[in-house]
Amino acid sequence: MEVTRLWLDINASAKKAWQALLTQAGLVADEQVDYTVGIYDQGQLIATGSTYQNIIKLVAVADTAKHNNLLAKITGALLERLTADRFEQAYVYTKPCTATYFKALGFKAIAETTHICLLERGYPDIETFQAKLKRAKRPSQQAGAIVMNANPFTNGHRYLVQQALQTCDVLYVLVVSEDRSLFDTAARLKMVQAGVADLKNVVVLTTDHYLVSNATFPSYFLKDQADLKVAAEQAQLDAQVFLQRVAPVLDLKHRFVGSEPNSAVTAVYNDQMAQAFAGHLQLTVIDRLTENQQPVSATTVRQALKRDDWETVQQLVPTSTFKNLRSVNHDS
Amino acid sequence: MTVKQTATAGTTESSDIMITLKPNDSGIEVELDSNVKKQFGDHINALIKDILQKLSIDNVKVEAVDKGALDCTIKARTIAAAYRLRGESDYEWEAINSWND
Repeated sequence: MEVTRLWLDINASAKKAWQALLTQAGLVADEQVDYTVGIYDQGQLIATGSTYQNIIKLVAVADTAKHNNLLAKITGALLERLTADRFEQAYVYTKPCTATYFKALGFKAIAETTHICLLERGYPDIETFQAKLKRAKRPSQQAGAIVMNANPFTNGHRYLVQQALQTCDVLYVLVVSEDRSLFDTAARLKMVQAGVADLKNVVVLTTDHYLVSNATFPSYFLKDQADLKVAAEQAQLDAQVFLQRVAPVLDLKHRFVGSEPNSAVTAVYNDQMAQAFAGHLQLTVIDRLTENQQPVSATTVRQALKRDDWETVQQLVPTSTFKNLRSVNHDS
Repeated sequence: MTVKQTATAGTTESSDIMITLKPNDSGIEVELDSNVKKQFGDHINALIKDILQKLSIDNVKVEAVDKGALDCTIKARTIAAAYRLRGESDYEWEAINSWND
């Protein structure tokens, strides 16, 4: 039995068979895929799998074809494709009950919720990330962390950091390192570093692919289109990664977040974190800094930038960010 | 030639072994996953280490997912992964063959 590529865009009958197989396996035929393969037996589609960037998803084998180790064939073909695309890591999202099959294929679990398990293979991996955190770790009694996208870094972010420092002796600021925002990771990291340079006891780090990333929390980047139920699942997973993989390494006692009056997805995220952390970590929601009765948010800054409204921008961001934005804008 | 950080050879099909090499600070460290680990785990570990030492690879972390591979397969996959890691494709067959003597 050969693994063949399924051209979902142009082959309507293959797409129909694909959807039917996924439905039978209890999966939603989500069309956000780059590449799909399948195995046919006498004209019948009996196994399939897809990739989206470096995420392996929608893997299903027909009930009638179980015990033929077709999963290894499908996964092998997908990994080959990822290697050809020069991805050095691969992630799998699956139900906890099927996670063992992927573990048998060399994948390692990063974190698990009641409904999803996230696994990875390749290098750098979660251990590399944890080693990086360990190197940056400072001795602390009451360490805290903030995860921020800082797209761009505003007065609101700085206020959040300052508020958190009132409770913490060491504060880790983890900058989301996924390039799906207006400002790329390097630029955002630079703005954060400049923005907190004068504050003692603040350590700026990146989240690599492990927090609020394409792998853990894709809905975060599709705030307008995200299904809130799906977002809640992903948020729970992200919270578990933080709780199980990051907090123990940095000896964290607190996590801080800004209150979220405007974005439903971020509100869901805060809510899921509160549930996951209960009894383990202190989650503190800090009210947003307001300027003229309006909460200061990166969204507002981006809108102002779009309008070329530099006056508003200047009011909402620290001088360091403003200089940075000006220079970037000057270049383009 | 660029030296990659990681390289893989082999599959997880029955009778094969998938060898993945990653950087390691010191020494050769083998992490083996196998159904016959109890019976042949030590042997497989020693075999992989031996091959890597012969190829002068001293600091590496090995992830081996074994599906019942024979020694010749384990050797072949380890050699292939090592060459891929170094970005080389001119196999020194004479040297490799001499190991069998």
